[in-house]
Amino acid sequence: MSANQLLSATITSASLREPDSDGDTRLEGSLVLSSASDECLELFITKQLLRGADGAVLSASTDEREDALDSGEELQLDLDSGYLKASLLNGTPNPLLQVEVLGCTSNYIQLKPVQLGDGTPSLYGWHQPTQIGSSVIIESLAVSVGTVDDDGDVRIEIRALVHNQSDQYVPRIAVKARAMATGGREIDSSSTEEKLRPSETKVIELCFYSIKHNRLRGLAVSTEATVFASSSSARCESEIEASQL
Amino acid sequence: MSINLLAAKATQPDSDGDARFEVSLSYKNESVQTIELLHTRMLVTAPDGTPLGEAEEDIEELIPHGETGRISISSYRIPYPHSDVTQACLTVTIVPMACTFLDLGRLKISDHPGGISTCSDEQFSEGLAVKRWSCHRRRDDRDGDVTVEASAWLENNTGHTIHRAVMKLQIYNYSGRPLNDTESRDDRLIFSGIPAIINDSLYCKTSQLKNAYISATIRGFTPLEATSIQVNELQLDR
Repeated sequence: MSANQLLSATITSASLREPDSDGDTRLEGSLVLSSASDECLELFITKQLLRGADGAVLSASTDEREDALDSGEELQLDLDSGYLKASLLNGTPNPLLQVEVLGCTSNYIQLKPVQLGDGTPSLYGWHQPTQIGSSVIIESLAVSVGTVDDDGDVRIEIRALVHNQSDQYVPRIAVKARAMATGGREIDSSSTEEKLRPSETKVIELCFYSIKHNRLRGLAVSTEATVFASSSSARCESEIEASQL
Repeated sequence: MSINLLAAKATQPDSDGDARFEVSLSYKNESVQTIELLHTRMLVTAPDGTPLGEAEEDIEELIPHGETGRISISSYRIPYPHSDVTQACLTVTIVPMACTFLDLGRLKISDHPGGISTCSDEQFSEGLAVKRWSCHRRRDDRDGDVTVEASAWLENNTGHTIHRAVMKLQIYNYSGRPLNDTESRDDRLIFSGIPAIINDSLYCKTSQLKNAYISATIRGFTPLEATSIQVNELQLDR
């Protein structure tokens, strides 16, 4: 079975709303997904095209949604084209909706925490390649503690060196860092999301902009990463009734 | 805690007759406890004592015993009917607060709509105790979302009234990956020796809750001895 056959998609109850006072309409409906993959799919990237009678693209949109779909189960996602002028549909009683879905698995890891000791301005961290799933390696993590500013605050910058060792595009890597005080209390957090091209090496940067200098003693920077890797895809299409607009 | 005035300024009343007041103070923590929150209040009165308005602000600081620092407190627009704004009288009060932190750990979220899971292990720290806490998975709505609610039975044995409790919740999926989180503030008074339940909730996708967990932490703020200062001479802020 190919990757494309592991995920199937069906459009249900798609329709165009009555135009509003500006003459804008939007597509509403549902996309029902089912999976035969052994792995749970946790991110869905949908691309929608609404095409006119001559094939011209009337609207295009992309959406990313986190959810969960296990093998043998169904998942319903909302379809939303965004607004388009109803006048574009003149002469097209039955525009064609085409949807492409990419289902992604996720691999989550908590990286080795970085202890800041007494918080002296310096560079802390580790160089110890850490694998996340089959495609991504975090090569190193650097935590830079700055000097105290006039307000008594310190800026802490975090840089993770990330490498996509696969020939697959990674649509999302999410990295979150937390400043943890003794006893497990979270003082601050920062997160970001990036994409990785095949074989790309990238520095992912995060920052705690203002941590009180007297909170630095005993502080640890705890970092976690989630890689969403392309797993399976599906396409479907359906004609939409637009004659009532 | 001791405080000293560094500067006090006021702007001329604007076309609406409103003025803005600002005070800078230095402080020193002379109590043995670490201060983590300063509740500040500035009352503005006319020279004859007529009350005109007040400004309140909470400032989160970590101030160990013996440490010094500076803070500024400012008001928004306060109506000032007299001609000379520098004659206004300010009464600044600072209520320092200590913080007790409790990590309640993780609790499995029921796999069934309407299910409740409970942790009955008592957790306590510095006079603040959670007797038990629970997680209630509400029934799914039509959009495939579900509300997850956590409630904690809190007992305040600190000997002081808790003026603020902050609850933080985090949901984790089957692999331990964090999903949604939320932090909320409960400003009810929680008297010493009197139990209270604090709770909060967050939304989650129904499909993501298979073998999911929730974690909770609580911070309780108790006031220490308040300090006041009166300011009768202000500079004009041009």
